[in-house]
Parts: sequence; C-alpha cells; structure tokens
Amino acid sequence: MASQETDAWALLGIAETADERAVKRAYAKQLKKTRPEDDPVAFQALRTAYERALSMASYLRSQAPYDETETEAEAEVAAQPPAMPSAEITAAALSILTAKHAPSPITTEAPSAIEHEAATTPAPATAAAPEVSEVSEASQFLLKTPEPLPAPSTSSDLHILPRQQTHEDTGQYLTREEIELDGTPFEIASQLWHEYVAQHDVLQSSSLARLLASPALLNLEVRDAFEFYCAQYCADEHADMEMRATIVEFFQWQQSIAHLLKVHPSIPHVALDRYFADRTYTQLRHQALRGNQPLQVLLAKQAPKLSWKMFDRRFILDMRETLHQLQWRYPEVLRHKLDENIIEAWRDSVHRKRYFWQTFVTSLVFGFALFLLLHFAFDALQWLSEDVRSLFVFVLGEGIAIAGFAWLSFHPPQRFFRLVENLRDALLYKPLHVYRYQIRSQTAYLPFVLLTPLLLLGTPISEAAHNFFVLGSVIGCALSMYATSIYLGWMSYVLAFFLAIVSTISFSALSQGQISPLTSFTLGYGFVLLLLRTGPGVLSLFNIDHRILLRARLLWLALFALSFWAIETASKTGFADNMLLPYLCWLLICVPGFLLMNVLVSQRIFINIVFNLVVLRGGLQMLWPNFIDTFALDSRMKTLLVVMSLQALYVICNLINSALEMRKTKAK
Amino acid sequence: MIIGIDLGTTNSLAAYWRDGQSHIIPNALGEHLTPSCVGIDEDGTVLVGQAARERLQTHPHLTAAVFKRYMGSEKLVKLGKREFRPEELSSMVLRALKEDAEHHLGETISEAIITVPAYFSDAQRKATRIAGQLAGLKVERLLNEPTAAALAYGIHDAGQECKFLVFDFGGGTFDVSILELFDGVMEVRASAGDNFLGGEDFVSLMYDNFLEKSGLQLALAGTPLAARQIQRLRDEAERAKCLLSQQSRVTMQTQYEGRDFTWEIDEEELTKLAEPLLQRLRTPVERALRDATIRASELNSVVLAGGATRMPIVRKLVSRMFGRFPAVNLNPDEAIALGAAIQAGLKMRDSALEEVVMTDVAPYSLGIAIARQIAPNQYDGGHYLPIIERNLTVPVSRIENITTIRDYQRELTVSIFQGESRLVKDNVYLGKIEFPVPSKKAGEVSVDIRFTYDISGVLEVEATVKETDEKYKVLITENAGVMSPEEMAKRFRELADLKIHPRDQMENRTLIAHADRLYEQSLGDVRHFLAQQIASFQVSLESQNIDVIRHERSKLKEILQQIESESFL
Repeated sequence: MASQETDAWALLGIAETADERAVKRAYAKQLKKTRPEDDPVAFQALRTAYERALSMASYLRSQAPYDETETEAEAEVAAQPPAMPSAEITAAALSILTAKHAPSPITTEAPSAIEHEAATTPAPATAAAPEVSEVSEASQFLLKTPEPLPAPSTSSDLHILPRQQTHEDTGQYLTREEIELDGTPFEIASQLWHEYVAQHDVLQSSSLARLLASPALLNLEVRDAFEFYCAQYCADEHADMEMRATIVEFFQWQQSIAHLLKVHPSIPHVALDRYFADRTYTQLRHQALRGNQPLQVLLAKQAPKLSWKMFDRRFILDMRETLHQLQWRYPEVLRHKLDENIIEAWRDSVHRKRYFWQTFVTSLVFGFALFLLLHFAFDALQWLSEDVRSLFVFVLGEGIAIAGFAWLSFHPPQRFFRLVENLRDALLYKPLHVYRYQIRSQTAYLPFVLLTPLLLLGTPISEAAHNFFVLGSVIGCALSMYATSIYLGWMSYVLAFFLAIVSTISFSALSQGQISPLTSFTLGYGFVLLLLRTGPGVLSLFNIDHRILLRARLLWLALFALSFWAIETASKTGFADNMLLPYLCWLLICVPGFLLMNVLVSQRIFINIVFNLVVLRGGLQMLWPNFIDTFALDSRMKTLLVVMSLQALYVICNLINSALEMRKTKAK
Repeated sequence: MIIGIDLGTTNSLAAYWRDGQSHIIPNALGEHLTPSCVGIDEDGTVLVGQAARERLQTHPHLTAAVFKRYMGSEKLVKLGKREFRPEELSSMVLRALKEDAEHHLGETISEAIITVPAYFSDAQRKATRIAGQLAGLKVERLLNEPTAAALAYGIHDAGQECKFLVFDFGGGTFDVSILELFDGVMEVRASAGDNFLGGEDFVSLMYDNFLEKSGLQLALAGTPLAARQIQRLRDEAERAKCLLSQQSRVTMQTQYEGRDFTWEIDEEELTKLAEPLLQRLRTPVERALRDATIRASELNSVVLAGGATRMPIVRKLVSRMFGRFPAVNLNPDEAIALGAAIQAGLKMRDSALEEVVMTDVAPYSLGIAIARQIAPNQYDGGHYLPIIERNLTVPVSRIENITTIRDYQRELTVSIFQGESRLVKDNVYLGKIEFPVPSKKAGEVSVDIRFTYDISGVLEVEATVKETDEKYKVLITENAGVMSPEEMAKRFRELADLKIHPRDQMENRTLIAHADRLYEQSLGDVRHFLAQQIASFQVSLESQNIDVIRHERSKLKEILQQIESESFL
C-alpha cells in the first residue's frame, strides 16, 4: 500500500501534499501528456494515482489539527438552540463511530459548514467536558441548526461564458423573487421538517413521499437540507424504527451517503448504521421466534448463568456460531442493539472447554459396548466368580468410558483428529465431498437393504455362508451410508443407546423364551423412529406440512406394527406353510414408508442398520423357525457380536464426524 | 476532416471545427436542423429530412420518425413493402448529413463523431455505431450528448475552475451530466438519465388529453383513428406545445367527420397534467448530484441543451430546482452538435484545443451474475456483482475474482449485465462468456474477470483462468438488438440498392411535400387553388430551367406560408 501511494505521488510528479488544488493541477498537467483517447492504459494508471492522491490529501487534511478559529467556531456552534428536542446521540454510539471512521481517509472531512456560519452567532460558552470533546463536537453539531456553505450566488459572475453573446432570449418565465428562497435552505428545511413532525404522530412513508414531491421542496438545496434533517432524525437513538427505515429507503442511503458526508462527517454514518442495525435486529428477532435459542437468550439480554443449557453441546455450538456471526456479519447490531458486556461474557463462556450431557450419553453407550466385550473376555478367561462378574465388568466398562470421554473433552487429541481428517480426505474424499450431495447417492444403500435378505431367503445356506452374508451386507450397508451421509446429529447417540438396550433385552428375552425377537425389534424400532422424528426435520425439504407428516408417520408405524404382528401370529399358528409371501407383503408395506421418511434424514445410518437387522432376522426367523435353537448359544453370541460391533462401528464413525464438525466450527 | 453529428430523436444536425470555432453545417434547404424523418416516395426513392417530415401526415405508412427510440432493439419499421431496422433509418439520416457536409465543405467526409444519450445502453451504442458504418462513415467516437453540450458551453472557459450541470432534454431522451472544469481539464463527474423521456412524451400527453377533453374520444366510440388523422393530431399537439412557450393559452383543434373538436389549455393546466413527467425529470438530477458528491449549492451554473428545454414548464422547473436561472447562451438545439464538432477538433489535434482534455464517465454499472452462498453447499443464483461501478471515469478497467461453486466443475458461464439492481433479472442482459475450467474442488479454481470500458462506451470482457493462464474474450454478438457483421454487410448492400432522392432536388421535393400536406388539410377553394399551384410548379420543374424554377419556388413558398398562417389562426 505504501509503495502504491508513493507511486501515486510520483506519477503525478509532485510531493505528498494535503492541498487538493495542487493535486488537481498536477493531474491536469499530466493529463495533457496522457490523453485518455491516445493511451488508455497510461491514462488509467494516472487516473488511479489521481484518485488515490485525492483521498490521501483529504485524509491528510482531516488529520491536520483544527486551527484556532475553527475550534472557537465550534464552541460557538454549541451554544445555538437545539434544532430538534429529541436529536441527541448517545456518546457511546458516537465514540464507536469516531473510532471506526477515523482511519478511513475518504469519509473524514473537516466540516467546513461549521466554521462558516458560526461566526455570526452570539457566543455564550458551553460546558463541553474535555474528556468527551470529540463526542461533544459531533453532538453539538446535531443540536444546532446546521447551515453549511455559502448560499450560491445567482448573479451572473458565476455563469460561465460571460463573454459570449446570449444566443436567444433566455426565456426567464419567472421573476427572480419567484425562484429565490425566502431564507437559507436550512431555515426553510428546518421549518418544513418541524411542520411535518408536528403533523404526523406516526410518520408515514406515503406522506413523506408526498411532501418531497411538493413544490416547497423543489429547490435542491432545500432538499439537501431537508435530507440532512432526516439523517439527523435517523441518527437519534429514539427514532421510530419504521420511520427510520422509510427515510433511509426513500433516500436510498444504503447505496451511498457520500453526499451527506459533505454536510457532516459522522451523522449520516450513525443514521445508516442504526438503520442496518434495525433491519438485522428484526431479522434476528424472527429467527429467535422461530426457535433459535442462542438468539433468544442474547436478544433477551440474559447473561450466561449456570443452567442445563450450558451442558447442551448443540446450544453451545450454536451460540458460538451466533456470536461469530454477530461479530463479523452484523457488527451494527452489537453496537446499537445489544449489551456489549453480556456479549463479552457469553464469548468467554462458550469458548471454554466443556463437558456436555451428550458426551455422557455417548460414554454410557460406549461403556455398554465395552462391558459386552469385556464380558466375553472375562468369560473366556474365567476371571472372577460368575456372581460378581457381570456387575464388576459393567461398572468397569462404564467407568472407563465416562472417564475417558471426560478426559477427551478437556484434552482433545488435536493431532489425532487432524490425522483422521487427513486420512478420511485421502481415502474417502470423493464419496464424502462429491457423491453424498447427489440425490441418487442418498439411496445407494437400498440394494444392500433389499438384496441381502432376499438372497438369504432364496437359498438355504450353511452357517459360515450365513455369517458371511450377514457381516458383508451390514458392513456394506454401513459404509455406503456413512459415505453418503451429510448430517449427523446428537440424537444418534440416544438412538445408539436405545438400540443397545433393545437388542440386549430382545436377546436376553429370547434366550429365556419369553418374547419373540421380532416383537422386541418392532417395539424398539417404533420407539427409535418416534424419537428420531421429534428432532428437527430435514423433511421440510419436501415442503410437507408438519402436521400431516406426523399423521402419515404414525399411520405408517401402525401399519408396520400391525403387519408385523399379523405375520408373527401367522407363523406361530402355522397359518401358512411358506412364509415367503407374507414376508414379501410386509416388505412392500414397510419399504415405501421407510423411504418416505428416511431419504435425507440425518440419522439414516442408524435406522438403516436397524432396518437391515430387522429384515434379516425377520426373514431368518420365518424361514427357519428353529434357527435360534439349532445354533444354540455359540451362534447367538456370534449374532450378538455382530450387533455390538456394528454399534461400535457406528459410534466410532459418529464420534470422528462430530469431532471434525467441531474443529471446523472452531476454525471459522 | 472529422465532423460532429448530433443524431437526435426529432432533429439531427452536423457541425465541424475550424478556426477555433464550431460551425453548423446547413442542409440542402439551407436550414440547420434536419428532421430525423425518413420516408419513401411513391416511386421508391428515399426521402430524408423536412420532406419526409411533411409527408409524415400525408403518407404515414411510407414515413418513419422517432426511430432513435428503437435503436438497439429488434423492432422493424415498415415503409411500403420493405422493413427497416432503426439502424438503417438512422443511417439514411446520417448519409443525408454527410452529403450536406461534403457539399458545404467541398471534401469527402469519411469520419464522424456521433453523439448518443449518456444513458444509452451497450446495444443502443452498438446500433448507433452500425448506423454510422451503414452510412459510410467511420465512427471515430461515440460522444455522450450532455458531455457534448458541456463542451460547447465550457470550451472557452476551460482554464477556469468551475462545476456545472448540463440538463439535456431532447426530443426523446433526457440526460443530466455534472462537469468540473479545472486547468483545461473537463471532467464529467457523473451522468444520469432516462432513455425514454423527451419532448415527444409531452406531445403524447397533450394528444391523449386532447382526445379525452375535447370529446373526440366519445365521438370516436372505440373506432381507432386513421394513421393520417393521428399524425395530424400529433402535429397539432406539437404546434400547441411550441406555441405555449410564447403565449400562455393555446387552443388545439381538429376536425373529425365534419365536426370541430377544440380544447383550450393553459400553462398551469399543462403543469398539472405533466406532473408525472416533471417528476421523472427530477430524479436523474438528484442521482447525478449524488453520484458526483456535489451539492446543488456548489454548482456554478446550470446549462440547458436539447430542444425540449425551450418549454416554459421545463425551464420553470429547472429554475425552481436550482434556485437560479439556467444559462441558455447557446441555442439548445445546436449545443450538442457544436460540442461534437469540438470533440472532432480535439480528435484532429487542432492547435486551438491543445490545452483541453475531456474525460467522461461510464453512465451505468456493468457486472456479472453470480451465486451467493446462503448456507453450506447452498447457493442462491441470480445475484448481480457490479465490476465497473457507474460514473467511473472512462477508459476504465476493473478486475473481479470469482471461484467455482461446484466440485469438479468443468465449465464456467459468466453472464454479463448492465444496470443497478441487486438481482440480475432486473438488469439488462448483454451477453455471456463460456469457457472450460480445470476440474477441481469447489473454490479451488479461480478466474479473473476483467471488464474494460473504453471512451466510446464499448465493453470488452476478458476471463483469465488463474491455473492455466488461459484467456477468453467475450464478443457480445448474440444480443437481439445488435446486428451481426454478416447481417450488416447484407444490409449495407441492400441500402446501396435504394434510390435516394438527389440532394439538389431536395428543396423542390420538400416544397411539394409541404404543399401536399396543406392540400390535405385545407378544403374548398383553397384546395383548388393549391392544386393549381402545385401543378404549375411541377410543370416548371420539368422545364429544367433553373431561373424559372427558382422563381416558381419562391412564389409557391409564399403562398404556402400564407395558407398556413391563415388556416392556423
């Protein structure tokens, strides 16, 4: 940047100066050598240099200390009667602005307006406290009737071409009195503005448009002045939000306020800033009403306090994101609408390392898996007596898991996460980043889900082949789904836990012959689905009304259960010799509903694993009624192992993914 | 020699630079203004200017006017059996002006500077350029009209330091430019305008109100007026509009099926009726001031250009807006042409203009369509990214960097637009550029889009793929309103086949057209008398004796003038 600026001065052939006139003169001199029509490239360089030099010069001027007359004039200005009773700008808002705009070379210009008129006014001194001098200068300006720039002389000396003869009658259809103003533009504008404010309790846009189209505001200088009064009104903290929006949009200040900045260097900025703050604030309020918890808390100006929310991972992550957005995207809301201290407190609070209840649930699930694995190990090695073995191993597994996760929460192995991330990108980059967003990939798991059980149904097979198929299809299913899944949420932990319980119950009940495995799975599956669907629905993608969706889901669930029960009964009573047909019917009922609900659903992996198992086990159960008995305990243990390893696989995948998501959020 | 041409909606004129001054070139009739009208004679010869203007009323289906409004569009104007593009019609006017200039200057003219409204779009500018080429002129530069007017006004004071506003309100377009003069530099700070607002709109306004208020609309009861009748009524409205600048009350009248319809209008009422139009005049002024960051009080002067600024209501508006009287030192009809001639002088490096440099701005923003990210992997297309912001000094070149949004995207399409709206659908589509990009992850391929806008307002777009350093340039040819080079060549040949009325016969031809019009308008004895006179003039034409013709011509002229003034009083 520095070199560019030096270049700019060099191109113009002058030394650095604050004198705009000198810059122009130098530019004019150079321009005659580099005409735009001859050498466009050189001209552009010159033009860029000129513009840069102009803004530099204006910056230098703004940096130069005010001379005495000016300061004096400002003090006098302050003594003038307020133009508007409500026109007060909080010191805080102004100081923020001063801080913000000071380094900007373009926007800060010495308000030439002030020095000009102030000299003519009587001057009782004001008590402008020295420590807020910067602020008071601006607010004093607000309080006075601004009257910038000398009234333009309409006399002929300013007309160009004085020496040329007038070609024709200038056609002055009006007298001079008719077009000249009765007072200074600011006096007239002030009067109009006050009349306007007095007439309208609630200022309306239509009346503003009408006023601006009226002959009283035909004169451009009066309009300029009037526009400035509007800006002054908008800069006021207590101005009506709607009116502010109306005014800003009417004058289209969003596009440019450069013309207003010539009148005053900061008021237009405040006005516009407040307008943007209003607008964003309204948006944020809508979001809060729609259920955005972090925003609800922030907009209610609640300081962080100890509550269950602080242990909710979702809430904390959302809060981080929200604070980040506020800071970088909506700083104006922070400045004008929210309490800086509260925001700061929240910022501190959410960036601390925390232990979440979701982590606890995960550790429980993980602990349970650990318990089962350890149980096998203890069984095989015959450690401890059978009486205490289960209890001890359970406590041990859960203990290790809880402690491990707690430790990980406070000392995350960043390098390991990075390694996994790199590994994942290296191995699974394409499926993860390309295919998972394609709709057709979202259903890639369907062949696995449908084909494997049918395969098993069709051919009686050996135990080894059976196990191979079970494992193969389940792993294929899980992998394909993992690769194509986009969203993974915290609800999956709960589901994992539920499935663990349900499957264990079903197996234990099965071994005691109390309950049919199919029934237990159906029950568990129903629960899981209900739980899942109470979470945030991704199905809004299909624009389906939520109430109808819920009904459809319940109906489908009922059908699902009913058909299952029917098949169950049929198999018990020996109603049908061949169970293939009813089983296929059941599939036909279930699969469409399943698709309806689960395409693009976040916890798809899990549901699909469950579904796969239900289908598999249902099919096996029906084809071989004595399946469980013939394979006895060993085989049952094997099946159990399959289920548990699946869960473990799922939980691990999920953990890695969550960790990665967390890292990404932090990186932002 | 380069000449300056003001190709206007209602009138066109040419001027040249010599001896440190601009001079207007008189046409075949010895007049400064040539109406922008083109007509076809019964025998297929082309008539341009006043003759065509006269025939507008008598032969509306064989005559075209205000075609400047259709420049850059696909609209075809049907004259007799042939259909013409607005460029072709404009080229005929240009050709007539060129011939006038050649006749006046005694040398072949092959280069010209043509003025266009500052707010003319890319397509409209291209069409104007093509019109020049069709007329056999090399268009050295397209100059913005208000800039030209400013040149005419400011040239003698170029050394001074001042800021002024040019209020250029012509027959069909409205432009505002703000200029700053310092040390011989004439810098256009900002331009704004309305391409579809001009004196013609006031005529339409009066025409519509006449229909309604005189009771003619009721009398018509839904039957449409004949084209001839419409044109006659429009002329009546035009006459009333012009008269209103001299007197405060005017009566418009017409005859329909033997009944007289009249409507009296005064200035006050017109002001009321024209309020929406006047409002449209105010907006560009405010925008130009705003863009230039110049406050009304800082302006040293307001100057008027364009014929429509003669209207008292427009002058009053300007006076009230600025709280001062506008400068009308030059004939508003001629200011633009005079300025164009100055630009020609600048171009020719005339020694009198050595110390003057003029810089202009791009009047509107130019940009591309982009997609904005609204959520991870969710993009909202159709947003407008301005690359060259409006009112930047031209020539100007700006670069924006864009990246791909899809993984393994193979191709990138950049659509180019002109306008100020946030969404591209509200802006004007100019064309697009398509090119292959290396297949990579989203965001990894970056492309520099460079927009270069030259002093004539021609846009060039260049895309550079950073990875491969390959460059792609756009040729905006598919724009519906712009002719392709092949089509241009074809049209050029076709135009060459057209018979054009010989220039030296123009005066006589115009007179006959004028007499024909009066014949149609008058009744009874006057009509018979006129028929007689026209016949005798035509006999004298056949004699080919120049003296006789001249004598007969001046006689007929006098008669026509008498009839006209009587019929109108």
